[in-house]
Amino acid sequence: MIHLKKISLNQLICLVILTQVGVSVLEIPYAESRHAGYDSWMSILIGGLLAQIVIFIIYQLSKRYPDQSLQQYIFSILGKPLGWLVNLLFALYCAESSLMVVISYADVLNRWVLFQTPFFVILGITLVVATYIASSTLRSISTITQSILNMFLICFVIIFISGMGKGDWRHFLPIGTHGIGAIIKDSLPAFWAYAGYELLLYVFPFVKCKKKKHIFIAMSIANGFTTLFYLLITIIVTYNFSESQLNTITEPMVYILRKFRWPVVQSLDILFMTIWLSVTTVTVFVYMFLSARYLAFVGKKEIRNHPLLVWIIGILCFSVGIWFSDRQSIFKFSEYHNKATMIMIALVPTIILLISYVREKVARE
Amino acid sequence: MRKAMLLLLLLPLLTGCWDRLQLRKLNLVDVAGFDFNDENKEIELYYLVTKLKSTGQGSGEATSQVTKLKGPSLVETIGQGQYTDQAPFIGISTGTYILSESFASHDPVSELEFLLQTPYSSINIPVMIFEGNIAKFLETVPKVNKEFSENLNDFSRALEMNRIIPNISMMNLILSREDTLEDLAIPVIKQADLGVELSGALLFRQGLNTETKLNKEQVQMMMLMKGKGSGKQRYTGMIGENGKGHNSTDKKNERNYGFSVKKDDSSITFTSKDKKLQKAKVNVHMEINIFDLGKSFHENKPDYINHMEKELSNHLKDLAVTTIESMQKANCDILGIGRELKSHHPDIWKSVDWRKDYPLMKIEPTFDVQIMNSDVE
Repeated sequence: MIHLKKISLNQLICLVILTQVGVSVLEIPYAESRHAGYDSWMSILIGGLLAQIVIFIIYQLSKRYPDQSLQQYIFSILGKPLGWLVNLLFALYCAESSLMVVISYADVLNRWVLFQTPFFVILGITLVVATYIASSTLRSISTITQSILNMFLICFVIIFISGMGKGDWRHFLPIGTHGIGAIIKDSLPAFWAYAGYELLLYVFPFVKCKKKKHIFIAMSIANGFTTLFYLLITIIVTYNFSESQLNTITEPMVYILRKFRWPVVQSLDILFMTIWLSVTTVTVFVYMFLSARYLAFVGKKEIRNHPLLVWIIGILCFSVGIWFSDRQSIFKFSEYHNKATMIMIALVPTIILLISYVREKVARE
Repeated sequence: MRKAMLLLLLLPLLTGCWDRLQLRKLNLVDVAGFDFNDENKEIELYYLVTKLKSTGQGSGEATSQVTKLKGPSLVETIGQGQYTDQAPFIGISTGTYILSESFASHDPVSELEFLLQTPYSSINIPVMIFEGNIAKFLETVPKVNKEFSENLNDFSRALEMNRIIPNISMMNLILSREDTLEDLAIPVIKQADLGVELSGALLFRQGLNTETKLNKEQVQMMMLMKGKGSGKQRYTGMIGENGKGHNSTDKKNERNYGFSVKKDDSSITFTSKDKKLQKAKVNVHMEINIFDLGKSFHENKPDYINHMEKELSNHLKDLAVTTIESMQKANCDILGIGRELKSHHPDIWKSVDWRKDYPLMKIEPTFDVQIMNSDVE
């Protein structure tokens, strides 16, 4: 069985935080400053707020079926054929998200750290580790994620230390000159960076809590932490680089780490990126696990061989991933992924919730 | 689960068989010197590699090797290295970058910007400009002075730590081209016996050399006006009556002065009319400890101290005026007046064409000096 034991609220928080943060840490706030400029910190905040709204929607939906996951209750809302389709779409989306993260970070490692190591080797090793972990139970995955939180905290300290050197607070001034329209426009890429909380659609019934409200509070704490983390990165980047300089740097955090001068470690960026690999692996194995769980419900009967499904997804990810060693293809894939994220984590849960309300109302009448 | 954790912990250690670098064979570059040959228009690269020979427990003989490469551009010049050596720009760290005056005058950022995208390249390392023949200097001095590279490294750190002049890293220099408000003063060094000494600072506007050099005294004034003058630096000079410098005609009334700055606060204020900029004021408030004020310490009476505070303020103001004039002539806003205006007075900023207006604008420095260690009640 995949979920004999339930996970605690603390484990849920860790799971959500580490699924949310990933490769985007190196890029924030480049995409969020295309229109908002140095006001991108506001876009990051609004993005966090949008994510919180979606968390609320997902919570409302899950609360209506407290003992079931989306995979199960989707049939009672949409019926079997549509339910299978939604499960299949979620399975594909999760596998695709997993693939997106793993190829993006393999590309980062290939460009900055291991530039002679073949792309497929980095991809393969990361996928083997991620697939192995994803084939275990939700409880085990949560415990491993809790341990990786320590590595995340080490990275947090590295970011903070390296970012607080020479800089200029005047890069933030005058505040708000880019206009609210530009800030809201850039909150969309920020919103994509927060993806990960949709795992609640699956884990909701497996969280140990006295009141279901506590799950919402835990989710809000996790999302709040990620928002603050992204905000801190944005502040550090804007403190270090002016708006026009930021236009030329697509991965500002890499440069902040490279900028840091310390006699003990010459290249802090290399140290950071190798440790951060563990953090991005969390996103990979969580999405892989979810993909297998959604896939298990595509069919008349639940497929109970979870490890087999995970390894199939892992092999598929590898087979597709090796074609993405070219950076341009990753950019194209990323555009598609962003659209898919918008639809699958915001639009689909909202529609399902509305249908569920309507069906309930019709049933009452 | 233990196996999973073990696998995960192994992930950061995956340096890869392909990318392994043997420490023994690494060329650690202490100094990378860039020169531009005006005759054949070629870039010349000198890199100084120090290796330890006859190593024992905690000992060894340091030998410096200088390699010279040349080519039509810096990237190609570095590329030449793979045919002669182990291409030290891959997988190494560099201690200091030194640019010759000639190299610095030929759009250096265009030549250097590839370093930003090159993995393993050191972009956090200070850049200095060498006054004189860099080729001759790097080919002779390090061979004689075994501790040259270490001393140079310590020297650049000391300049920053003692607040004499801040280090400008390679990344600062490259990125300065992208920002109209990010002008730089890069330290200029010259040979002094078997080492180097600071000669001043060369002003760069958006990554381009303005060919204007501040002398050491002007560098001190620049630091004071930026509010970064406090520290271990000693300020010395001669002061005449009414704060005139030692060029005054009345040599009899000239006195030595020497002080260190305990606290240095600087602010920039603007005067405008109808949202049009009229004047910028650089206000410097300093708390100083004197160790020479022209008289014996016990003779420093309150009246004299008060008088000398004013004299020093006037004297420093005069020096600041000439420093600002040099900056304005070079159209180089080292003090960050433009950034201050844009940040705090966006309405006035809109009416300004910065590069056109800055050289002509009225900038007035004011100094308020307070002596903190007078020996009188």
